[in-house]
Amino acid sequence: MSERVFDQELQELKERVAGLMALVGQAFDLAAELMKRQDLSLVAGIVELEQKSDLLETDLQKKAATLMALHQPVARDLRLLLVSMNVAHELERIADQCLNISQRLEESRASLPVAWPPEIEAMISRTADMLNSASRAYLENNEELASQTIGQDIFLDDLKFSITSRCLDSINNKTLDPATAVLFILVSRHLEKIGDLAKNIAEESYYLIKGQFIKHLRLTDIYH
Amino acid sequence: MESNIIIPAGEIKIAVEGLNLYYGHKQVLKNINLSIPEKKVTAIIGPSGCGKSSFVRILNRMNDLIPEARVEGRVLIDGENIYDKDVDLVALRKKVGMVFQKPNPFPKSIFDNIAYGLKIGNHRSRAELEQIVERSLRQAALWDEVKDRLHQNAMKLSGGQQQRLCIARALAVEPEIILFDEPCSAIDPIATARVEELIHELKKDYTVVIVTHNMQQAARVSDYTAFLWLGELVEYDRTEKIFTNPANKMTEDYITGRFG
Repeated sequence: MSERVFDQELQELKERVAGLMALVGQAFDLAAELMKRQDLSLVAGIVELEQKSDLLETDLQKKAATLMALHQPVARDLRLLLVSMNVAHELERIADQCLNISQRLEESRASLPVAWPPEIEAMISRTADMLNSASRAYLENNEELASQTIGQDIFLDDLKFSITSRCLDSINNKTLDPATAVLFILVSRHLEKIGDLAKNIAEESYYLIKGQFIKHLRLTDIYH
Repeated sequence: MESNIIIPAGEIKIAVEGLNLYYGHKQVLKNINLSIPEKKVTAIIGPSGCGKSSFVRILNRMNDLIPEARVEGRVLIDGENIYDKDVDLVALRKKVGMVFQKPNPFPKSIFDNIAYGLKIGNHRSRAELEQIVERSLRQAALWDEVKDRLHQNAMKLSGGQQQRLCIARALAVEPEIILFDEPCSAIDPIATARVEELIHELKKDYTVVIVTHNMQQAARVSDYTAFLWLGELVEYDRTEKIFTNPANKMTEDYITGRFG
């Protein structure tokens, strides 16, 4: 059977999500670059990308709603529409977190430059990996990548806990400027949140591929 | 066949076991095994010619009217095989009512359309007949529209009203099972919505089996869905499962419009 018009529409929707992923990926890379170079001139670029992500997400939601109304999809077509809407929403929230990071650095301009603790460096790297693997899980219908992404979230939680504890101790011991310590804590929260959102994308992708809701389940519950 | 459902024995109204149907040399249904639960709506879907209508006609032996039809296997209703030799066909068709694709009222009054089946073999008083006619029309959600013109010719009703009249006629003889063979294919969307609402109401008291070409209708009205293809039962499961995450790729391709 030749490709249906609806298949083309779904493909176009998926390409829009891919576009939004690329844009949000750029926002994240820019936020990581900003943290590395601590060059506040990069903030404007993040603001622009975040605004574009809002517009793209809105367009995507409208398009998906129209497709639902006109085609009344079921099964994997329905799952693709629902998941695409949710993934777009999570991506837009990731762009918000990138903006938040840039704002934290702007607010801390008096304390810059800072030497990021190893936990933050590790969180940047881990978060970038999760964002990449979650995006690929959706785009490539890759169940394994989805599961891998979900499994990584715990490491970010541990890193955030570690940096928060160390910063609080440093404030008490007066070994670190409180403003810098607060910056580290807040940035670690934003990175951990990005990891959560990437995990959500992976969970949505898992539903897309397998038709099973796994939110709030542990990986061991899924596979045993 | 892929199915994840096991209907508890106490809830099964119809059990189809190893069913084969032949029209002459042509096999129309192939080794169908299916349990239909009581007081639920079960939809039968599949492309044209897959055996859906033949399947529901098996359930009240309408296929007996086709000279070359031959049935193998068992169809148990309340545990009794309706293909046993001593089965009373009139009693069977009273127990298993049927509503067809096109409304087919008799060219008689609305009242007589309902009362006709009651008069056969039964002597009921006029008062009894009036009571049953009113009850049946109310059950079919038609009473308010026709109560002032019960003696008008039924052929003057709209298509949707005629179909509900046929449903009322089927209900009048107090069946336990109602078979719907594409009941909305000849009526407009508003009449379709009324019939669908009615089917929701009917399942409180009756076991309903509906054949439909309309995927959305199957999704809206049924609790269980069976997908037939080339006379075989491909998948049978809860409707919500079939329409969100079917187990069989062929089912998925059919319901998403990729073949058929």
